[in-house]
Amino acid sequence: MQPSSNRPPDQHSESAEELAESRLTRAPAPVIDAIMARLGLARESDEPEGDALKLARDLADPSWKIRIQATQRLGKIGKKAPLELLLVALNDQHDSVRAAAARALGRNPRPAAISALVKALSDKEWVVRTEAALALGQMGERAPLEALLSATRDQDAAVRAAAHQALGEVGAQSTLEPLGIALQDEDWSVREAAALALGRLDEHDALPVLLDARQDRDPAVSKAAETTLRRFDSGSFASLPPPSDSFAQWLERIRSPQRYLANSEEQFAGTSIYSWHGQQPAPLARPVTREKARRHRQLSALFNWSRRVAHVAEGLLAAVLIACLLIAWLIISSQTRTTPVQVGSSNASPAFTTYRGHDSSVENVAWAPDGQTMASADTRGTVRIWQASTGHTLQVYPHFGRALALTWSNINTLLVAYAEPNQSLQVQQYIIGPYPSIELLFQQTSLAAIPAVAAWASDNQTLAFDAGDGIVRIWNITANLNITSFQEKHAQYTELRWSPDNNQVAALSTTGQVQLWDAYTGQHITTLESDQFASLVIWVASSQKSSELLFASTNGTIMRWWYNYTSQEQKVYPFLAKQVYNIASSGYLSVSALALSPDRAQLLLATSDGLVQARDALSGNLIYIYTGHSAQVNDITWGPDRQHIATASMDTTVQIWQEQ
Amino acid sequence: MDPGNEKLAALLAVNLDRHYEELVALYWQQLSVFILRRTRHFQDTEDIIQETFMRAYLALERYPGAQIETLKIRPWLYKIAWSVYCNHTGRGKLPLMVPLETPDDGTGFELEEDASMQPEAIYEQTEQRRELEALIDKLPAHYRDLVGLYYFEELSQKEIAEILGLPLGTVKVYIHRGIRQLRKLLAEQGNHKVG
Repeated sequence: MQPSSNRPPDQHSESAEELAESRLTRAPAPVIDAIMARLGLARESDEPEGDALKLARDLADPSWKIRIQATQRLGKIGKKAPLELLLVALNDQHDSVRAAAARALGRNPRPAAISALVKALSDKEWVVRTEAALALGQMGERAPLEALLSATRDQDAAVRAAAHQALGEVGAQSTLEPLGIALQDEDWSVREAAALALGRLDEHDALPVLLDARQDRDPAVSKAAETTLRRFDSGSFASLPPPSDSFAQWLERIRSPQRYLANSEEQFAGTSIYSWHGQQPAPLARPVTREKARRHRQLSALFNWSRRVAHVAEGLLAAVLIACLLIAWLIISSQTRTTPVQVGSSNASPAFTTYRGHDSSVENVAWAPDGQTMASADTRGTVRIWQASTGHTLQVYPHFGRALALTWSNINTLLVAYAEPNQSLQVQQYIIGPYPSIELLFQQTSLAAIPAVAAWASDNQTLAFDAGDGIVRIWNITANLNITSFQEKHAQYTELRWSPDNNQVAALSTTGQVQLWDAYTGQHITTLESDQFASLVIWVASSQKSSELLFASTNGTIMRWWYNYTSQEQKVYPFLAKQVYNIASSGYLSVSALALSPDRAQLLLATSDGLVQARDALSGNLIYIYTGHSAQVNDITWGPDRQHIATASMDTTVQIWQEQ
Repeated sequence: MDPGNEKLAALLAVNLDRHYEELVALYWQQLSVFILRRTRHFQDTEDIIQETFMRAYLALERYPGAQIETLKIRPWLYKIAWSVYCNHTGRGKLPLMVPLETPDDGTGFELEEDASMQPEAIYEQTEQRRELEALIDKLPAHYRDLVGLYYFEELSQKEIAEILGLPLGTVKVYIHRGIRQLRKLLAEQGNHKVG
């Protein structure tokens, strides 16, 4: 649908009525059909819903009407519909198919579709953005508020209205402010949507703006406000005059962190919301339920108590601070000289725990979410579970295949992806605790080759793995759902890395090429354009607009790679020269592992001599060196406390340590 | 003017998906004529109408059932169509403002003595409707929209005010002035024919 204001008028001598009579009445059915089809409301065919293969075929049909019908059928299948097909439809060239796919995803909300729907919020067509916003509103607590808030500023009124409707569906308290602001939107349909959405929040702080909206210049908005007011309290608010304070005052109050206290104190002191506006209390019939009143009183009491505690804590904190400063001064003044960072010395602590249970090089290590239990895998395929604090072995799981990736799905469940010699990939689930169990959770057989790499997304249930012949498959293991796959023919991969937002996968091939792929659509995003080839790659950041990665080049330089999705511009520049970090040896050193701290401030760089250097992630300056390992470090991972670090090494140990 | 409204609104409130086609079939043609009069371009009109019905459906999905039941569908659809038309053509949604008092401003709805010169009477005669349409096209834009909505779409002044987002008083004044100018044009045309 292109705006057509620039088109010249048809040259004709007919009046509009003649034209209408002659052209419009001749074949109204196709026009109506087109409208209904575009809305995904076309008459149902007698065709059965069809299997995935038939649906996939229909989704590739040249006719958009067939594709939209297939999307409709996918929507009717419900949550069993292959997500991959819906995501294909969401990327269709026809806006109505994309919109229908978003609608189908909204009717059967699945968290795995969130990122694709967020992307659809940037679609060029308003109807797709509208449906995507509505679908995201169905995701409940998982709905990405930031993306929806951004959609509330869309240039199209229908999208803004849908985004506000979605915020109302989510029902989070934080949506009160944007919904209140939307009541000032220039477009009546947005104001109307906001007035209706406020009714879903069950927030009495919305009353002043709703009472104001009752006086809106557009009758549709005032009607919507009245409908919502009736939902609040059987219509007793609907008869009240508008409040006296301005919208700016309301906004100020809403933004105040103490509004809950003020609200509860004022509302439950036997006055109405109008006493807050400085008006005479108006008698209200049960402004809130008894249960709500009790909750607010508890909240109020809690707030008063916490305020008193805060006063005492402030005093204590000041005293502790002074004591700390004094001790620090004493320590500094007692030292004869500062200790420069030298090879062989470190200001990292000695290892708290050194786990020596493995009898071969340790390849991977993973912390349980509680930070108490560790899992590590060696080159023989043996997985060991042990206590982080003592190094005591809890379980040993020998396995014939090679463990490619470990993740904890909860504090007592470990998932391990194994590459099997018979060219298959298996995911075993190990449950530890008083009733340990092993279960084969997932298996992919007859792959083109033995998988070389696999990587878990940070959701701990989505796995990207190399299926041979350059194919990478992405599966949600918990749902047993093939999300997508992509292929760079004949490529052999040495690393797969998920972006921090889980939307993309960086694939590093043995030729040193790095490619970024969309993890939900399987679309190729970009290829590293550099005269340098990579031997290791990690993500620094990812967003809808740009991505930043670090890679170790085959000539030893650590490079930064920045890519902008809009302009498709990329920048590659050196971050750390080999000569800078190659401080321990005059011989050849390679980078064996890279890891960024959770706050992205520190880069840990492991070299083939077993040293781990901590460097400022921005300047590259050396902060300290950890010297606990006697051979190359293969894997580095931060603990859930964001302070302790676990390193797995070829010296067959796993060590847990922290910066001193 | 809209006898099927209540029944259709009730049906839509019960099952929007099932009955939406009836709404499209009922209003598609009159909305198309309304837009076509302005765009004079069939493809543009079709685009605008499709978008209108898509936006209307999305809005109805949002409304509680009780609100749909009491909805005056026809003026509501015109309101959406007007908004889409304005977006497509890049024009402002409101007619251009003119000063409320003008030197030739009368105080009431004065009737011409010659009844044959009344636009209302001419409108009743189908043959002359097209002539009237051509004359309305000669009116300044801010009068043309309102007089067109009043005569050709048979909308009440209150409904027009709602569609265009104008105060009812303004709509009344505009329509009154528009009709007076139309009478002048009719008179001039009559004189010309006689001459």
